[in-house]
Amino acid sequence: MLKNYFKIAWRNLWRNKGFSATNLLGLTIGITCTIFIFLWVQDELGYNKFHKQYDHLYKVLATRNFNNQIFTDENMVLPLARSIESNIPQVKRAVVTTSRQPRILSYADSRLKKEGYTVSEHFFDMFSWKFIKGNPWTAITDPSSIVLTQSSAKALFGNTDPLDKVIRINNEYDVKVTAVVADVPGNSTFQFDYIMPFNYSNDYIKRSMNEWTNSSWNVFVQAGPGASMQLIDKSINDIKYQHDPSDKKISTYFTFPMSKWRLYSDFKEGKNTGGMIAYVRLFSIIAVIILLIACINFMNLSTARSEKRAKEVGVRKTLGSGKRQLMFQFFSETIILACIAFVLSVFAVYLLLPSFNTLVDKQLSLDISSPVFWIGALIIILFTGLVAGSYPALYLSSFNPVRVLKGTFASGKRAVLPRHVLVVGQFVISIVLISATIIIYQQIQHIKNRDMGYNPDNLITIPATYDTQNNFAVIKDELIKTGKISAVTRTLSPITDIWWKSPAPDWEGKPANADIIMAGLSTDIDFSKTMGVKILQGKDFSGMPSDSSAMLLNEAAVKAMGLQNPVGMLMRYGNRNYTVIGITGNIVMESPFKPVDPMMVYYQPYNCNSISIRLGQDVSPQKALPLIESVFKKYNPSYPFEYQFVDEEFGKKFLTEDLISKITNVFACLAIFICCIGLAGLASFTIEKRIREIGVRKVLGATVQQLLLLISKEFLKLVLIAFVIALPLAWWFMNDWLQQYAFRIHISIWLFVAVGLLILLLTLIVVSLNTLKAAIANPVKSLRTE
Amino acid sequence: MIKITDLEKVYRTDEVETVALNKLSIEVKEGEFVAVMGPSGCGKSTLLNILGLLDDPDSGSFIFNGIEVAKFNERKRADLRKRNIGFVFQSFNLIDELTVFENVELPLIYTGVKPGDRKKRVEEVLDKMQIMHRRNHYPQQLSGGQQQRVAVARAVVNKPKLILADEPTGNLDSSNGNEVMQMLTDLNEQGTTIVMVTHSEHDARYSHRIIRMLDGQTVLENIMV
Repeated sequence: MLKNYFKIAWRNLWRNKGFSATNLLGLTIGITCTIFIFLWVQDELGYNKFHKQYDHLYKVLATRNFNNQIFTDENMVLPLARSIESNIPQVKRAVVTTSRQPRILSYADSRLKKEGYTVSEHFFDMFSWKFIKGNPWTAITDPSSIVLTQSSAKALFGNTDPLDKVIRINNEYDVKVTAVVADVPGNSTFQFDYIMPFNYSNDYIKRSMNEWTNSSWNVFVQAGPGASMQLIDKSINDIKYQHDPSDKKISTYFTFPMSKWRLYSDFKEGKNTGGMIAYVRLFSIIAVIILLIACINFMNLSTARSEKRAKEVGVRKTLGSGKRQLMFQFFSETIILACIAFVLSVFAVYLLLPSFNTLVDKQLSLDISSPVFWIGALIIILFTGLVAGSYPALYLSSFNPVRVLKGTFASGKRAVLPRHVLVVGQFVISIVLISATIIIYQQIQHIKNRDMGYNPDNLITIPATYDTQNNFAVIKDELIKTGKISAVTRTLSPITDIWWKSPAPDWEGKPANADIIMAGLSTDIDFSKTMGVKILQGKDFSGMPSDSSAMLLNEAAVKAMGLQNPVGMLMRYGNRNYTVIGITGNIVMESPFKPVDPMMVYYQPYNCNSISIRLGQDVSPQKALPLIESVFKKYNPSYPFEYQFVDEEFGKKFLTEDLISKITNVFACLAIFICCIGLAGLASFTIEKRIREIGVRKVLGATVQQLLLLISKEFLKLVLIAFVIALPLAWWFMNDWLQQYAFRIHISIWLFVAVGLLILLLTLIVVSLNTLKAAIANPVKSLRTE
Repeated sequence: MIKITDLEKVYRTDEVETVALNKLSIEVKEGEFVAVMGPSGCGKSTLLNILGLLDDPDSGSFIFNGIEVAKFNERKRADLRKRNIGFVFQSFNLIDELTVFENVELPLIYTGVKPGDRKKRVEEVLDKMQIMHRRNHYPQQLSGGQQQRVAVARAVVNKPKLILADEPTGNLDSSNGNEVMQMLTDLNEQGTTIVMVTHSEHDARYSHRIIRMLDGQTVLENIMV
């Protein structure tokens, strides 16, 4: 029986090549999208899972309340980890690490800037890394050891054995390579080129080990079997308060499981607000929707051509086939089709994976030997086969054999209505997706075009070092002398980041309840000139001795502090007095999606970590960079020359939004494409059915245009209905999405009009292309076929 | 074998009500060959459909092999049909996607005959119908006469007690028509009950008895001698 089903299914597909190809194309695109999204989602869900202790690992976080500003903080005091480990029996291990730090690793002639962590002793017991040379037990027992990743070892030593080689760090001290680990997988939260142990004999570390207020480190715990996390959390709080009682009214500590690090990384006012999980959900839904659109194509085309199969159904029923057997037969056909589409999709995925990886900036791969792949394949094939086959199977198997064999059978309104509903459904989804794509694009452009308060173009930043700080005057002088550089300054942090936040200074008339957190920036002269920052009132620093007790405020600060005539006002910060000498425009340094924080700018050239260089007008970076490099080589010889373009750094703030924009863009295009394939198929069946009518009308004098309109009218009506349904849906979804942005566009009605016209035009083109052949054919031919 | 009493069937559309069978009563004995004749619209085909358990009557009784089947549901009807009744249509109604062999095999598949037995029985019947050499051809590759022979082969492969033939020679020339009628006569002589709807007096003469219908009722019965 089964063999018979498959045989006839196969022959049916083979004989109706056009129908099968249309469906295969749609289903293949749908399944390909699904596989890609599945890979992406699997990667996101698989973050950090390679750690053997995955289920038992936690990061210690704190909810801190500074003057009613609540935020979540990962910075902990250095001695916390050791105290947790020795005082909480339910904790198996605790580890403290620095945040990721860049260091210069030198060996012979090679000097490389690499990033990594300094960690405490149990790091390799807690987290699982693949050791290629050396072992986790002895890798960091010696404080002057270093563990490298395979590619950093290769970059430093080429093909020679890296073990026991001595590397100089930051041109300051030597360490010995004790182990090499495989490169860190892309889906790891820890990303590093090297790992070094804390050197507890170092003065700073020694001091910090007894310091319970300076929070600069990250702490991780590994819970013992059956441990109660509430109990551990409580004990961590107790330990911290015991050593620093003043912290009790500010901080509450809690453990954050590794399974949430990637997907639930966002906190707002001390509450977890999700994170990537929102996009994992969104894209999973989109994958199902695209597959659904492809399935709808199949349903529509199958039922549209049902008259062709009616006889077969009639005969089979006459010969004793039950409804269930017929349904089974139709399901087997769709499942075969889904299988073929799946195989084609796997080829398509292999072909397109490099492009997709570029698109999503990941290193995804399709492993057909893994059980996950086969389970996924089974789910996709069954889903596609059952969903696509459901309606046709129900519909076809319900035919009355008497009527179909008599030839009086005609698919009436009963068959057409669901088909129309499905087509409208497809177009609703497509219109919503296209509108969403355009709105996301507009929103990103809106933010990118926001006045940043400085000019990011042709601006370069270079990290400051001990040498550049000492030689800054001469470096600046030589840079200006090249004639290619128009201004140079230095700041605490690069202009694309804020490193310093603190409560606002005091001023006369400050309200008692003024809880203002301000960003802080220290800088040198030529700040506004180099950055292109506007000075709205007063003046910039000029290097006068009085500048050391001067301060600039930004517009947001003036507004937040409620100052009327800020220039000349006295501010008290710490134990010093400052005079406000100027007001700058608002500078967007952190998230371009959020309002600008109030900011104070101090004249502290000695407290700067970033050098900013403004290229002269019309000077190309290609010309300027070699000149800048030679100056830095001369005055900063122990560091490799590295620089960043501010506009590129700024662009990185849009990574998530750009990714979403790109993905929705691709999926919207594919969705509409699948819809058009289905439309083309339906149009050609409509024409086939009405070929005689077209012939008769032509004989009676109908023009080609009239015939095109006749056939298109039916479809245009459906698209119009879809448009009316989709418009409020799209508006509602996108308005909701826009709410997360403080600076957002207003959705224009013209956008929907444009999308509507676009879809209408597409429909007209697709239907007309199919109709044209019938409309211009000789009517005698079509009349004779009857 | 068949006893129908006061059978009624009315087709309704929005505006028109057509009485297809009007309190029709007929009896067909086992081993009989009955022809049903009458003008278009007299209810012949409706009768045949109800006899073939493809359609159900609005009222009346239909006893098949001693069992009342008028109120059988779809599943029970299908089950009874596939074991007891074979069909021969005017337009052959072969499945285009299946070969001659596979078309004839189909009823055996639905009655759950094992593959080995199926092959034997299909070959046997194809041989008998003299179309064995065409076993791997598709219906479109055959002449009308050959197609009807396949259809007859398909109708008899399950050894049904009853064959219902709906104008079996309507689409055939006279020599092919005579051949098919001869086949039905042979089957009848071997014990199969046959009810045949026809417009052709010539074909009707092959039967034992002609039932003439008009407006959903029997108006006359001729016993053939």
